[in-house]
Amino acid sequence: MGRNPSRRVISLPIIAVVLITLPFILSRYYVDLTIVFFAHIILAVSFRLITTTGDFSLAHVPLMGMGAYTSAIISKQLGWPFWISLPLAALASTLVGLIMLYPLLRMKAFAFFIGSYAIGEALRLSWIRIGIFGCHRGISGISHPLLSIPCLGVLDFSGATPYYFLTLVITGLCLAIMYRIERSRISDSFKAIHSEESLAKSVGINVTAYRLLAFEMGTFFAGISGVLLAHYFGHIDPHQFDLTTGLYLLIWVVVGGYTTFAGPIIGVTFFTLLGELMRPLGAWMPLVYGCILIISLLFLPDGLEGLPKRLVPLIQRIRIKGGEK
Amino acid sequence: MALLELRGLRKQFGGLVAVNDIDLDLEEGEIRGLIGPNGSGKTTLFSLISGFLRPTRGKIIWRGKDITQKPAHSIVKEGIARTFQLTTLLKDMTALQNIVIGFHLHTGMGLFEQVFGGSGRRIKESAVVKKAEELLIAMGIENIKDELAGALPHGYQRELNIAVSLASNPALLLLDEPTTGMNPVETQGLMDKIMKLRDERGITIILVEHDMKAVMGTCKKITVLDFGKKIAEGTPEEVSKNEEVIEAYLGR
Repeated sequence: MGRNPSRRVISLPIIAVVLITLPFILSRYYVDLTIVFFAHIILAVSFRLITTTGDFSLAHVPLMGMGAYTSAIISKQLGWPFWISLPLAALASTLVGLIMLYPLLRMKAFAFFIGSYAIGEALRLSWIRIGIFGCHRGISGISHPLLSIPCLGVLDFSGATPYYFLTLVITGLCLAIMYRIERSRISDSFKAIHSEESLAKSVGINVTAYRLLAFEMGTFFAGISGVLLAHYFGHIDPHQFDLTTGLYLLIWVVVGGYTTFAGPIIGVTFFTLLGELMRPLGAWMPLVYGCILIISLLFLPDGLEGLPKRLVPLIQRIRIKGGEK
Repeated sequence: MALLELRGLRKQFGGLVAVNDIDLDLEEGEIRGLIGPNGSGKTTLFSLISGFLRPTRGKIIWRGKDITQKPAHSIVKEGIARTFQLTTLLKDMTALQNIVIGFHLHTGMGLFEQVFGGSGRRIKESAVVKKAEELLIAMGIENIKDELAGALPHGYQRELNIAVSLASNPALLLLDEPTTGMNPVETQGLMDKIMKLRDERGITIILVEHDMKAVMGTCKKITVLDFGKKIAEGTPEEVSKNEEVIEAYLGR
């Protein structure tokens, strides 16, 4: 409801140019990093979509893993191409998410948070227990996407640069769809459920159905995120989708902010850059993350997305002081 | 057949009986008063009728249909709307935006169209905004259209709440103490608006009120509750002379 798109229209072509030239400028390591960055953006924005109804789900990362595992199994056991395993894996994630919701929808707020952790962890443990998922070792040798175009031959996406563009396009599509959802009446209903549930019910909003809708939509994109990572690195294991990753996701979204669409994107960007700058700190990284989270909660309760609003009065005060001289 | 029939309606919270075997018949077009001391079960009764609470026992029959087990959002679809004792509005949105949310069931758009719809969606959204503006005018509060709901004076908030509940196009409106915090002039103004709404839109109303003057002046029939039980029902004259009613209000 009413945000000005003009700022984004100006910077979009610049961002587009930067994004297109990046893989040719950066080293292989940084292209890898950017691919992971894109997958994390999809993960964080889809997580935030679910939070608009007030549900914070620690099952989000395990459901990302469900997408990764499903696509890995489909391509390895059935030999089906990436272009089929990707949508199927995303659907598999939503199906598993639906089963999870049966107990979860009875819970709210903190109970939902803890319950989602328990169910997500149960899913993750099932990968460790059930043979087809490869137990502790996970699944290796996941194939890279291939695209046969008639007359032009076969496009091999195993290289960093082609996969970068594949991820870029998929991320762009996912963000476009999620942005559409954000600007829609459905999102208004989600937010009404979060801020005044009685009001939402009293205008005829089916709270349970809408919570389910938000969760399923977010889970679908989490699944896609998992598939992207699985087919790039060729290997997945259950430890990639454990609580640590879930907590990092939570920190990105809390510090970046979750009341706007851009908040989680800001959070992921901030921590990706920070992660690279602080790489020498190695095992101390979680400590740094924790400190940043605490500082953020104390001084920036709206998250980084709220920074411009907080800086405006500060800048005005500096201007006035400058004028007085 | 009455518009709304309550049969043996009971709500128990553990050992506390909030609504105790209530029978009630409501005719179409009535403005029924529902009064009683604090804690007599009026709001609980509203919550039962509107589907926010499930009855322990009893039936709720609406237009001949049993709606006892229906959840809140289904009951709104049936045509019953309610307001709350405490103002429930989206505080960070404008008055207009609040009413637009109220049209949730009547946008004419399915989920897919709400997200991916093009010009058709825009047209339907404009239609909703227009209807919302008309509701503001009907309630006489069009001047606060673009004010944030949380920043509105209390009286305006109460009227906005009523406007939002009207957006769902109800046949029955449950008003829970709409005049709380209003002075006598504002109260009379609101009562006049409520009667006008009933006349113009053919809405049936149940009015919970503590302001006796407002209730007696507006309602032709009043039901009195005490400790969850119906202790009297009749015209304002009959009810005000009823000994049990007098005792319930004064004898504490």
